[in-house]
Amino acid sequence: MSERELKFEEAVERLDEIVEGLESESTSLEKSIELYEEGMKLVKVCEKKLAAAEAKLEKVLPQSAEDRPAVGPLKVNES
Amino acid sequence: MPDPSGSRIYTVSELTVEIRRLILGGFDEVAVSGEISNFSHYPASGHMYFSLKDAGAAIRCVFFRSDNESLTFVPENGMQVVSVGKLDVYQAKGEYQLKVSRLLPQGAGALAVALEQLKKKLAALGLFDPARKRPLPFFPRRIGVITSTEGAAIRDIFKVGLRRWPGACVLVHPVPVEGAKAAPEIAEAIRRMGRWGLCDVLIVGRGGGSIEDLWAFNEEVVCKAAAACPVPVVSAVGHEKDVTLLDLVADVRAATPSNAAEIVFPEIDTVAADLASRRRSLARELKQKFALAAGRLDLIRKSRWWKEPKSLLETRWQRLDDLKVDLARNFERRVIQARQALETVRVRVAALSPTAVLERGYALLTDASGSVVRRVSQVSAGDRLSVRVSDGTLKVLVDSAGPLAGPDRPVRRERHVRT
Repeated sequence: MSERELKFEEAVERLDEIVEGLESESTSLEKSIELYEEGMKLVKVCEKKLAAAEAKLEKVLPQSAEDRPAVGPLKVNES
Repeated sequence: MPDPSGSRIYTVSELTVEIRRLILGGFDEVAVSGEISNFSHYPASGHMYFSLKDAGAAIRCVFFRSDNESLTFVPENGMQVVSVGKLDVYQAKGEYQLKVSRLLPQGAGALAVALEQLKKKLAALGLFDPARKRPLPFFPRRIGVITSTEGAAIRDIFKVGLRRWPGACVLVHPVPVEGAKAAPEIAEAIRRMGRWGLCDVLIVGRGGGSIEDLWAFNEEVVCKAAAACPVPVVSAVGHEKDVTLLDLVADVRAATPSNAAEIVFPEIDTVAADLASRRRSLARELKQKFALAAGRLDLIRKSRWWKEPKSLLETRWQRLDDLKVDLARNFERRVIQARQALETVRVRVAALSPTAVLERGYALLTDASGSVVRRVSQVSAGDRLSVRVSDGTLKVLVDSAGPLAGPDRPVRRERHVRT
């Protein structure tokens, strides 16, 4: 996940804005097409995020410093 | 001095110092449970002194002001408590004693009293204010969990959470959840997780247990850390019936750790359905936009402008021609009117001219001094007067002067004839 990529929540928020923009009569047709293309791109990004469903379970290690946490994988025994 | 047993003879002080050394070295921090007796609190110094006893023994305890200031309840005789501290020797009296650093209530009665006292204090600080509650992120990037890695809580959270959201990112901060060290470590974990900013929501909790087991979640340090945490905190302590002070401070109280997972982890099917509905509304909105634009275009195509642009021009030509005719006609009428008005004025002015009056047969009389004669009384018989008529002046001699008999007044017009 790159730093510049939108978080899922932000992407959904932006999607809401786009749908609202499309609803508005004052949005030009050119702008509408732009918005639609951006929206579909965001939907794809979100779907990809949903599909990449691999849990990442970590724990804070005891040697964590105040300003820099040490993190390691966590294994939990299923009961 | 002879030594009866052949061993070394200590002074009292020497022996006491030696005993103190052994005691200090022999014990680390200890936690002792017992009942408070002989409690005294000296207001001047602020220090507290009491004994901790059980059925078989008692131990002296000192609780100095610097340590007891953070106490959130008032100890009473008969209260069951756990004293945490270090053993020491009070050399002046040769007594060993527990130097208390923390005092925790124990047992239903003592705990209830302590809980009420702390609850009041935290309420006064506004920590339970509903206005402080923050909404949870709808889609957390990483979920922080502060609990023991050994207990049932973490297994429940993972079981429920990963079923809802198989791709979840979870960072666990292991902490002890009971015992004397639990509260400070939980508080520290909340502060660190808040500082690191790795997670955008925290679950703090543990599985069920006795009221003593859950006590750490009632402690002031934990409540204050949760209140100061920059990200929302979900409390997940014990079972549904257990309500701790952390539950009151937390942004959201989950009844159990499983319930916390249900609240915090988004449900993948719901999110997917939501996304699909957004995709549909995107397409629908664009389609509507096109339909609207097409409709407008259609309207334009049907308009007269589009179909017969010439006819619109022709109407305008006609209107312009009409206006031109009106313009000329109106102008002409206006000029005639003005000319007539001028003529009327000219005639009226001419009528007012003095020469015109003399022409009609009136005359103007002046006496020798040149004054205009208006009254008979101005003139006597024998006076010489000048008479101005239309084409010259007559010099006349007055024969007689007498007033007019009858209603007629002298000629009124005279006054218009002044020269």
